Amino acid sequence: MEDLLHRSIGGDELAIAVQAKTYQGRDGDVAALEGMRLHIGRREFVAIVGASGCGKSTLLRIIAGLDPAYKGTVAVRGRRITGPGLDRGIVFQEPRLLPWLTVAENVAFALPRGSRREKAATVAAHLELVELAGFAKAYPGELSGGMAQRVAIARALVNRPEILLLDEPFGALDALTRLRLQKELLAIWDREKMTMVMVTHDIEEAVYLGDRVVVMSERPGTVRSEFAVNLPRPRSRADAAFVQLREAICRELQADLG
Amino acid sequence: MELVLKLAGAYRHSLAAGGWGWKRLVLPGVLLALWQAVTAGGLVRPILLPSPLQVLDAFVAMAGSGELVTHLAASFARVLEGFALAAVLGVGLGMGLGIFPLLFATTAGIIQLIRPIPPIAWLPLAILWFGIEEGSKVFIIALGAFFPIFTNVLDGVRQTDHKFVELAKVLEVPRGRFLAQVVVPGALPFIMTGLRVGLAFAWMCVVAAELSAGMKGVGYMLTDARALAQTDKVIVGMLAIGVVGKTMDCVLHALEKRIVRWKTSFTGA
Repeated sequence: MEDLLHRSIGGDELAIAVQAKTYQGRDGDVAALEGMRLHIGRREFVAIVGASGCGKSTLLRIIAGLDPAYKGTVAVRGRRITGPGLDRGIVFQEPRLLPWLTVAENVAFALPRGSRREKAATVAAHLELVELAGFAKAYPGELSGGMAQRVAIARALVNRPEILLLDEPFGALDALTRLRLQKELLAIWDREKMTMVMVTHDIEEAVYLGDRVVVMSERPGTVRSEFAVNLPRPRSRADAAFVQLREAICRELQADLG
Repeated sequence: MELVLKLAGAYRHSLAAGGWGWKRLVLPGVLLALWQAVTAGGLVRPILLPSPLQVLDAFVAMAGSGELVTHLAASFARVLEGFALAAVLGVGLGMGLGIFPLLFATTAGIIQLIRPIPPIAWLPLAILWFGIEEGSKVFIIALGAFFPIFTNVLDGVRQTDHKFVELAKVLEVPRGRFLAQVVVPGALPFIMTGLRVGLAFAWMCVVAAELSAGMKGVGYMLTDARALAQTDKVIVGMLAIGVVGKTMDCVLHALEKRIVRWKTSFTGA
């Protein structure tokens, strides 16, 4: 039954099989992930939800290559992840813009060496993608939270990664900005044809964006259940099927907490 | 006593209200008036504390004769030389030790051993090595200004935001760019603080060094005036150091504000 949910669109882009990931806590090792298995297809949008502390951010850090000390195999197209790589981009919870660099410089920060003109064109194109073309020379301190996070998205995209990892990217934004950025993100996903893995605690966001919603159980984190979202896009949050699915996921999460 | 407390309270209040300009002059004005009152009333002997007017007279005389400028210029030149040396070494070594763990491991012990030694304790050796006039003084100043600069720069590199380190890792940013665009700008506020504290140390050291040896400089002028019981000249010398030091600090502070534009500093609640 579970295997039916592992539908892959273009083969496994990302194969996750983490036997164990532990952290050194004050009173010995703390298990963050255990027996975590997940397959993600090419161009798939997977949303991972779970209570805070369930290890979903840890999972994202492992995929990003920031945390290579784990037992198991997390592989991108069959190659085990041992460190960061430009094939994976990441957007963190907070924008992480360098305050002393302009918006354009922050985006260019991600680019490998290249000619100045080439870089400028790439940066400009990506600022346009996130609708910030007029803010190239602004400093992060002059931006709103939503704008700053859009710069972070542009920076993550500028190397044309095949997989974009999003770690609760809209969690700190106000509701209106969040809705707008969700829409923009979906447009980017559609246009750039990339794989996206988003960690969130917002169930509605997960259902609105994902092809699939993965519910993680609490510590040690593992996949509790998966929900395929077979709703056409653009999705309406008021749609009966949408609401039903949202409620089902909500119950599942609460059952885990209970 | 009550009056003083009241005035102090009013002064604090005016600062808290966000007032600048004339409010800055309140406390100095009060102190000056107190000073004048105490000396004019004949409460203290002029040799212990001359009146403000006497000091002003001495200042005019010393400025007119060129005595003040000569000594101040000598000290100023030494401070600049010693401070420049300290700045180059302090920033260089602070950066180096912060960036290269091997350099830190091999040199930190020695540096920490030398740090607690007061710069002035080096004077006998410095005079032997570098001569009694310029060399020894510049050495003492450089030594005194070096440690605050070095310590702050090292701290500045150390406190590089872990989140930015992670970001650079994920983006595979080359080392050179990482240093130039993450580490150095992040350390800049610390570097500037180090330079400002270092400059203040430089002034302390120059006067201390000149007090003990030499024929020129504000420190020499102070000992000379004390020997001749010219208290007014001593005070002129002290104030001159204060004014020049403050002016140089203002220059550095203005520079800091220009360079570290992205930071808004906390100015008190």
